[in-house]
Amino acid sequence: MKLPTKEELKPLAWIAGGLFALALAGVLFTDTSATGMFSLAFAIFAYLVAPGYFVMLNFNFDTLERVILGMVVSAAVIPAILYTANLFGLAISRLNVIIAILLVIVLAVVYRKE
Amino acid sequence: MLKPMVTTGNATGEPFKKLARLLHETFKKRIMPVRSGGIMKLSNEVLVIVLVVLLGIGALVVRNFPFSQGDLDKDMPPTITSFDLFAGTSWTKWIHDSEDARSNPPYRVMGVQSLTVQPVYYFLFIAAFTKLTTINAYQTTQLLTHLSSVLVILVLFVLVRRALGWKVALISTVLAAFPAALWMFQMYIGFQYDQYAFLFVPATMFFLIAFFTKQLDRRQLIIAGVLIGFFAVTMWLSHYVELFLYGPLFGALWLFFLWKEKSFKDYFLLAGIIALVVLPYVIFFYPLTAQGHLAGGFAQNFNNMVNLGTPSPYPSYWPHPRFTFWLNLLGLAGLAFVGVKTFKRSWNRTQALVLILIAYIIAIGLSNYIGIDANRTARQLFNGLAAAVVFPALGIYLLYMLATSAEVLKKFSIVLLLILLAGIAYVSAPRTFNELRQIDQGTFVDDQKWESIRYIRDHTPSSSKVFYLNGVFHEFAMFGERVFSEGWVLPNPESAQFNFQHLCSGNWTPVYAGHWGNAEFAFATQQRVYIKDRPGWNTFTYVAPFDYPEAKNAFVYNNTISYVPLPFFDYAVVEYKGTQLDPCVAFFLNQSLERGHTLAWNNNKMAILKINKEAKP
Repeated sequence: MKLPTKEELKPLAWIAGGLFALALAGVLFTDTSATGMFSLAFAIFAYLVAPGYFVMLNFNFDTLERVILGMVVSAAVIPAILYTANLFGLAISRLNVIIAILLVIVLAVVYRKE
Repeated sequence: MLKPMVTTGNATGEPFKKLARLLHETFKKRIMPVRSGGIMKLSNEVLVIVLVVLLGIGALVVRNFPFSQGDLDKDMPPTITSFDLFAGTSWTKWIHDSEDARSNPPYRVMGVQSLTVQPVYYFLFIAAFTKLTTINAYQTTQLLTHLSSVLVILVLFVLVRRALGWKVALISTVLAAFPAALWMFQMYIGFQYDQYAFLFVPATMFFLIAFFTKQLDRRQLIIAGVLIGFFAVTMWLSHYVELFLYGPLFGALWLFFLWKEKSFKDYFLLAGIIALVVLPYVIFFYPLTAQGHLAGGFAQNFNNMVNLGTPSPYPSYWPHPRFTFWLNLLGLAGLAFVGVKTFKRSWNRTQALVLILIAYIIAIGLSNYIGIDANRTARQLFNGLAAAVVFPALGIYLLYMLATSAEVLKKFSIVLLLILLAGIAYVSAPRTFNELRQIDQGTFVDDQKWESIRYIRDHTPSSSKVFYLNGVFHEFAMFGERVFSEGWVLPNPESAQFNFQHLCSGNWTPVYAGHWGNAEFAFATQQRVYIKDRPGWNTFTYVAPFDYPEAKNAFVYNNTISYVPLPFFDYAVVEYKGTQLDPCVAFFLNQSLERGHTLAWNNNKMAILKINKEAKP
């Protein structure tokens, strides 16, 4: 197991900040509600960006590659976990989506080596 | 006084040789160097990240805003231009609401409980995302479709950056971000899961390149294998076509490098891990998906899936994607340059692999035009725009390099690049936005029609059967989330003809012709049936719609058109104002009221009759 360093977490902080700023702009300049915009920003970060990024920390790619490829990884792995769980009877609920995300992040960190 | 023009060389091509040498040198110095982990200086890296983020946001805005107008809270699908968009959105909403991806929405399978044979990954992907938001599934379906389309561009950006450098990659990204609206045909006609499945093609290539160029240690190789396996599963269970079109390329590359490297342990380990991930899904889903044509039906009818050897015509209502004259010209320049470099065999392995992928995508997309057609190959031109623009981008880059080779301009090369990118965006983005906005104006449903759908969805019992006499575009009625029959439907104009011949001539008919919604989810045996349950791995039980005595008396199933007595329905929806058939619909309404049916709801355009008095609002 290797926990991500501060440097490695920085891009995530930037992305979270950027998404927050975009959501704020969305609230100010579009008809979408604040809850809608901020929940959207949260979902993009938690569902698309974070899990894949942690998986991609296992590779020696640069930040941009980790973020972009990480989103593709999230888009494949999270639905796969949810669908497989659903076949065993687990609902595709909000809680289970969050558990799937955390599972991917934990596995990615645990499997990572110094 | 003008200086006489100094010429060097002779007229036999010396200037061209010089130009070629200059291009070669600049390419060698400024594009070729690719270092793992650090492709550019930090300042350039920040610049690239900022530009990529801006282009990504711009691309998303151009794709989504013309349809949603930025109102993501609206309780109405933003893109209402074709059936496939309705179908995708409806699936997502069902999975989101029921929290279950195993069964069909009852309202899409004539009210029965049945297992789905539709590949649901794409819809599940969006439904799960929607669970984390307060936005409804109508909006997130379109938003994530557009986001997938932008992600494709970004994944190709990182690939092209590795192969040809960040400047070429940025130019191709801006060309792909704001293309002519026709290149975005897939989004408003409904190739939704195509884009999602295609996303994993360049991503797979990225990991394979890392493997083929020996950048992965054993642990990373295992993770890459798992990820590629999941990419394959996702492609198969969202839109199988891409897997079958691009799988052979990846397989051939694997075989080639296995033969070249003779590194059997690593190559078989990678393949073994991919197989370990994919096989359980194949074993589980193969018998199920083989039951239904929408899942590919490759057990029953392989030919149906890829149509190998059976050219199918390019659909007449599809645009033929093409570049403008200048992009074609620049593309030719880029292509010529690639040709020269290929002839000199001066590509490294990464560059060669990226160019092979791009060429393959374009070849698959163009195969339709030379008679080597397989199912849905033409769509790859739309999906693969971000790959196709690499050649024009290379042409633009060569011009840029020529311009900045002058001593005066060298200092401003980055500024010039920014001006170039901004110029392309400035010219193309507003035009694309306006063209898409215009397409949105021609949608099939307006707010008043949507109100009637919403009434059915929110104020009628879930077991209701609804008859849409007219006014609602083919299959849009599925958003009412009730079993429905359409009396006015594009694929079967005979039903409208039957109904309105009677009504317009003032003859009341107790029986109405219609098309039952979503019969395609059933598969045709003697009678259309759905899969009810799966008691064993390859054993299924089936259920037929309306398989009970009262219904059989009322329901005559005649292939695609049913002639159904009006009292069989609980509600009837009509558009009574603003059509050429207003008097006929008025006759229907008046006669229905005289026969004891009641008006449940109406606005200035639409009306809903309550046919069955027992139906509880």
